[in-house]
Amino acid sequence: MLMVNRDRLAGLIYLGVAAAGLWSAWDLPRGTLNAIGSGFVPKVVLVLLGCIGAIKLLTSCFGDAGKVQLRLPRGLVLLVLAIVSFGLLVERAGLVLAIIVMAVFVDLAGNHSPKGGRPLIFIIVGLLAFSVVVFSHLLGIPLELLPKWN
Amino acid sequence: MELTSSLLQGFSTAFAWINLAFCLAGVVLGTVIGVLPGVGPLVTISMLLPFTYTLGPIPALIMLAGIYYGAQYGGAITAILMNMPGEATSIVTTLDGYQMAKQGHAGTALAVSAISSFVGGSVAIGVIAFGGPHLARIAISFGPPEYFALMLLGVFSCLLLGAGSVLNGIAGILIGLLLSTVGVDPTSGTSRFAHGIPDLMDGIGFVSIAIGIFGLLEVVRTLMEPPPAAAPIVSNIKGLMLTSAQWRQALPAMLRGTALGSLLGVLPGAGLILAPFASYAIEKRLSKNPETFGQGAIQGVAAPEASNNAAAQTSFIPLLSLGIPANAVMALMLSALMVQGILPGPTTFTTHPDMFWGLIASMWVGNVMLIILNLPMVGMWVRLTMTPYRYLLPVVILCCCVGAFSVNNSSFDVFTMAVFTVVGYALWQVRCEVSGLVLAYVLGGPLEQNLRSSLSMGEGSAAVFMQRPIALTLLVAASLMVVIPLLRGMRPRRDRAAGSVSTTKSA
Repeated sequence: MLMVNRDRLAGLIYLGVAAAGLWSAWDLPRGTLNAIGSGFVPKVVLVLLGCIGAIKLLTSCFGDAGKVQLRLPRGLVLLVLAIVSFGLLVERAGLVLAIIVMAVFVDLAGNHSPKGGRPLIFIIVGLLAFSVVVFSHLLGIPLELLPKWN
Repeated sequence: MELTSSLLQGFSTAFAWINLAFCLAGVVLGTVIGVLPGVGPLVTISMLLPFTYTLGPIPALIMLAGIYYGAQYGGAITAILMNMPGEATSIVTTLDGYQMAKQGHAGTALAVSAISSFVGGSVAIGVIAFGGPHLARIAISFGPPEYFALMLLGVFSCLLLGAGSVLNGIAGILIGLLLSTVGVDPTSGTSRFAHGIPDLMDGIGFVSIAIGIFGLLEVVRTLMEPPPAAAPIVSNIKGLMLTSAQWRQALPAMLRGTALGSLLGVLPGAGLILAPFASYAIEKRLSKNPETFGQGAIQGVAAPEASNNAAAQTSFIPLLSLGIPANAVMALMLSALMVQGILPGPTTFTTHPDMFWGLIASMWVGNVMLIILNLPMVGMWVRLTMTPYRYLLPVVILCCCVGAFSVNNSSFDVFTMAVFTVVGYALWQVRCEVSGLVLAYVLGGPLEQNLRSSLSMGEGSAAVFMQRPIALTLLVAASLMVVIPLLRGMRPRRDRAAGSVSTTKSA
């Protein structure tokens, strides 16, 4: 398993954000102190962040801040899949499909066993009923239930 | 007399049926999430934030506040019965509360905790009613330099009690500031970091950031831990009334806890977390037999519970009278108000008196509701702790998804939320403080605006901050917030390294 020093990872993340940000903010005007431009605050913040990243990277060579696994945990990946598939489906395929796919991913993400089965069906039916009553009727959120055929 | 008439006005607002209903909804929800492990007020408030946008500002604020202080009550129930703090602020309550429950005094412990929370809350509400307008009167003369300094102080103060290193804390703040600049710059109209993506022109949605970084990160962390094994002590919940001897022991502790909590709650940063710990330490020091602490001392429940609820209430003072959130939950409240077109500040009392006094009166009402909900109905909450996470999780995720979607009725915010879940996980892995990030994100826009106005007031010279005594004092205080933890961090280097190794092992 790939392990990396926690401070080194922190330093790399901060430096990476700072570098990407500075590249993106390069053309923004800095302005004068009397009338600061739209690039002033972002650039100051990015330079400071870069400095912190550099310090973290340097100190990681001396201190031992512990190691981190360089891998996303299963639960996180499945949750993200659940959310992204909900986002992809809800506008075009409707709420029913979006909820079914989301619930399957969320059920896989949990650390219970066995997965699926009758409880999952119960969860999906419950979520659908809850959404129709609370989100559509009480809160009036414009959510299509079924796919739009056009 | 002005106070009385304002309070009367507040009560008439709080007793409007819609506000009563949302107050009840808030405190019930607060108790529920306080009881349920793995779902805290931050998750719940960030999740419900988009749904409050359609309510008026008053019911929205009343409900969100109810969730916040309701969770302080609920958190104590699991702390006492299961030795498991539902919230960070009830960690101390486990020390003596669980011991009392094990000795068969669960009822007494629950009663002391609920009564102490009520006493702490009620007194603290008085402190807000009295102190808030006074603070606002001082702040009314503030110009941009003072506001800039004050906001800087507010943002940096979360470094003081952050768990990790100061550098990580500052990095979190910087990332928050950076995120707040995404979108069209309001002064010049130039687009920053949006790269032509229309959905980013208005900036990154606060709801997506808050749910992703707070809510979903907490869910991921819960999924990574083994499920709790402790079964609640439910067999012996009786004796929900205190004897006069118990009153004599508990009441002074309650009052001291209240005083300390009210004071610490006003401080920005981690005052809320600090309050129960500090008041527990004081009780132990003052006690004639400190050896009873940790063995089921009644003061050990009374003081921290009074203190955490008092602090939860008074942490509204900086938000309402200065517009500066004292912690991450208050940052969420601020964003809820900003969406409603209200920027709280020294003039809140004159421009929105119904909101301010209505909120205060509703807090009283809410505390009364909570003591009724908590004492006779405690059995119901205990059963709730046995809800399997398998059933809870899909509901939480669905509410997060629909919540993010409903902000702009677009999937873009749902995707952003997913991105920030991963971002939150990465930052948590490197121990970067995310509460500072959220605070900085909310205050980032006004900070930049006030910096710009201050500098043009000083005609391009930073001396403008030196010439104004209040601004200078606040800036010095803000820099102390950075320097003190830096100095502290230099000393116990070896201990910290050892500590972080052990946390890696347990993770």
